[in-house]
Amino acid sequence: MALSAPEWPAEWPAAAVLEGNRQRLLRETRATMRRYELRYELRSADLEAALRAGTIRETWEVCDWLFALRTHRELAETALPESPDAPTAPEPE
Amino acid sequence: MRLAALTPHFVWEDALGYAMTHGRVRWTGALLLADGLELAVKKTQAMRLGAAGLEVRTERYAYQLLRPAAGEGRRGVFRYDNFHDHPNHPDAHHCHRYQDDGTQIEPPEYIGAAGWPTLGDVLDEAFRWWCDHLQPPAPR
Repeated sequence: MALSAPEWPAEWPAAAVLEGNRQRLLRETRATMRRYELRYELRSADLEAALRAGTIRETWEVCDWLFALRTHRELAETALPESPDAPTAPEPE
Repeated sequence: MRLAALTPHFVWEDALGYAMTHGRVRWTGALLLADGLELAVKKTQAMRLGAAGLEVRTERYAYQLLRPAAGEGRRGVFRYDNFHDHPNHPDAHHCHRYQDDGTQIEPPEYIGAAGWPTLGDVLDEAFRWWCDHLQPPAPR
């Protein structure tokens, strides 16, 4: 048994760490989207419309694609570091 | 029932990882479970600094239970997610279930914003499924 998840930090991470993660995730999600675009012969920009139209089914693989697409969008919109005093307003659970 | 209570007899390895960015944390990976089961996770949480430290609230999630299938890798058992709206569902919280042959049952089951599960809830359901399907009968 190995609990391998990294320890949860007690403080707001340094801006350089957050930005480094953002850049890495941008690269990874871009590669993921490209892989699925080639496999399905569909642009990522058209994925949500294809799901609504029922021309593609929501499988676990498609969830992975959606996750990459939305993560990429969010990261592209947050180019400037935010202050921990003004974080993204969360939705109530 | 939660992770610690199900470790190590059911949860064999925690292979979940996270990456924090500005205002969000994203989780990917899996909990590796007994008898080859796997609970795969993709989750995005909003993150803020509260009085007690970092606080998170889930925005999007997908939890999929996979089981081993002879000769073909893994098959789905169920998947809870809110990644995509479905026709006639008031919101995006739903559950996909699979037949024994791996076919996805249509339409997905509506769960709703009032009842969507946490990872702990889904782990509990995975444990119940394991108890019902995979454990050999107790010797007499």
